[in-house]
Amino acid sequence: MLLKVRDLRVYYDTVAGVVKAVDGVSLSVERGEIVGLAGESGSGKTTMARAIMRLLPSNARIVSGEIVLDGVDVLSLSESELKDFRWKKVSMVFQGAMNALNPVLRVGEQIAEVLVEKAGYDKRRAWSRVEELFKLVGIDPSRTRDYPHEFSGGMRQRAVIAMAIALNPDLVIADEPVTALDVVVQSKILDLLKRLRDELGISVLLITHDLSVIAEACDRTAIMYAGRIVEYGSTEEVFEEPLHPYTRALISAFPSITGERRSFEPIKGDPPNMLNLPPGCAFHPRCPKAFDKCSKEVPELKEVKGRLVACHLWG
Amino acid sequence: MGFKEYVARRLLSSLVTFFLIIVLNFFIFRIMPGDPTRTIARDARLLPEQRELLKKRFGLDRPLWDQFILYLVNLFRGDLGLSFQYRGTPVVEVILGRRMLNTFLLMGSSIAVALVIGMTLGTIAAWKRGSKADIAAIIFSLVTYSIPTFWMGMLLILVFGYYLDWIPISGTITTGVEYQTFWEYAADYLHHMVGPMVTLVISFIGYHFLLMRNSLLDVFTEDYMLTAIAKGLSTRTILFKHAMRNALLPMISVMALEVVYLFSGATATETVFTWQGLGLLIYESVVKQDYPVLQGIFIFMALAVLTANFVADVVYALVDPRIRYG
Ligand SMILES: Nc1ncnc2c1ncn2[C@@H]1O[C@H](COP(=O)(O)OP(=O)(O)OP(=O)(O)O)[C@@H](O)[C@H]1O
Ligand SMILES: [Mg+2]
Repeated sequence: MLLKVRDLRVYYDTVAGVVKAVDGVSLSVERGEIVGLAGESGSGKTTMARAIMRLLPSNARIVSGEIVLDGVDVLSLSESELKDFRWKKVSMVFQGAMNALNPVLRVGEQIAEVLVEKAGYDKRRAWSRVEELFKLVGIDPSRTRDYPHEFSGGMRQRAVIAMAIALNPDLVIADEPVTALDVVVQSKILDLLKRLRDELGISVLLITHDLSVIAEACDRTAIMYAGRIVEYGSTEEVFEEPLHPYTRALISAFPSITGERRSFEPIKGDPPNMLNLPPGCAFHPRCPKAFDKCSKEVPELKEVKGRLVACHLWG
Repeated sequence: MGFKEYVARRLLSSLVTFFLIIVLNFFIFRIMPGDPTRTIARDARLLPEQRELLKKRFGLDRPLWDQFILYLVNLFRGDLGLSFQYRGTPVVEVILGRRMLNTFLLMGSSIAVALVIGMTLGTIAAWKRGSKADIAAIIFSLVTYSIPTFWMGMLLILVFGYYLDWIPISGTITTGVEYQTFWEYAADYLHHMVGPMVTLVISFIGYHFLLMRNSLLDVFTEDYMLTAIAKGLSTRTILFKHAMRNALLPMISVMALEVVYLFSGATATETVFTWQGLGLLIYESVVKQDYPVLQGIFIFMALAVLTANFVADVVYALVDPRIRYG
């Protein structure tokens, strides 16, 4: 197992109160696997990703939990150990990757600098490695000295991915890597991620709110709701037979994931108020199958039919 | 649009602006009450021959249109008329030379020192935002920025010049001294420069500090800064390569405006310390109604502003690759 997150809690202190953005998440990622993390906006996906890189904003607190990546206890790393850990072990493709590149530095330079500073390359070798990386992600290697604004959206996304794999990390966290792109470019970028996984053996944690992206690229899928994982299993099984009512609702809110037409049903009710979550299962006010126990007890994530589900309906 | 074309366009627009300013400068001095053109031909501080010469050279007894043409022709020959207060010395000679050198040395060194200190402190404060040092630096900046320079200058003169006798209280050199070597002269000159320079540095620092700090704090919220941190780069690379270059962009236009001080001088400071620069010259020319010199300084300042802005535009394009195409 490459990544193991156990009972992670990350809270934000705000003037309005405490936001329990991640509240007891457990998640594991195997080597060479693409895991999807899906959920509505505000469910805590980005917080989760940034916690793994120890990149949380200053008002965030890691309250409890454990993150182990390739045997390294991430939460106990010192500031200087972190510098070494970041990008070598785990790198990130940020949400809104359009702005992830520095506008005044050449694209190639932004990749070469990690090679020089963190892997001991000399300048010349670093730049030829950048050209290789460009080829690998499908950008014309003669464009390494361009500035970000000279790239199209799809090219920038590829460049950001090239940057993420520059040091051969074990894990790449891709936060909404294709959200701003059109569908054709989307599926090319997803193909690229799959190819890199096959060729380089890296693992990918792919974060998105778009289930069609998950269906297209992920081996396993975790569904997140209000700071918790509610279902985690192989993508095929989760889509075929969703066990958690929220997963089911989410899937039927996406009309054409598998191409077939199904009746389109938006999830009823409003997303939860993260400052004041409902007691028990946070989904119960919107759940068609809710019963007594749901508003009283928080359901544990338990194994059901070979996957993990947190719902009182299943025991 | 390529870089060369961009520069050419900027240059052209600067030239057009300069021409408009020259035209404006001609008419302003002729619309002013008391019609200075007539004063020029009559001022008692000039000798009768000098007055005749001016009348002829600037066509002051001819129609306005002819005067304008002559004004332009003379201007491009570098002839801005004769100074009243210096009894007929050509204006160009009054402005260029000593006066200009004095201002240049004082302003150049003050601005450079204030920039380096202000920007370095601003960078550190932004990085350690909210710390005690940051807050202390902000208070210091706001206070020094708000103190009028003439008041600060007088305070320095009173304390360090009068009571402590560390610095001379006026002038650029000690009068009546024979210098044996150039170095003796330079030392005396620099000793005189301490007072006005400290005044100017203190009054400029706060501005540079606050600007740099704010500019950096804006940059810190950008996504690419998070990327730089995520990449595990050293603090130095993050701060000086990724943040600085972006934060410097707004600083360039500020620096361009300050280049103007190099030519105009700081009138208040130069006056308080009787520093024989262009700022003091402006003050004296106003008091002594020396219109030709004022007109000359205005044209000179316009040229400085335009040149500085042009250079800033070019530097901008070199630092920010997006500009050439925008
Ligand atoms: N710096 C912060 N300070 C306070 N609250 C925050 C902060 N960042 C995020 N939050 C809150 O934490 C919760 C989770 O945010 P997060 O960005 O992790 O969600 P997300 O699942 O990534 O959403 P999206 O799909 O919109 O990106 C939200 O309610 C959000 O408002
Ligand atoms: Mg997010």
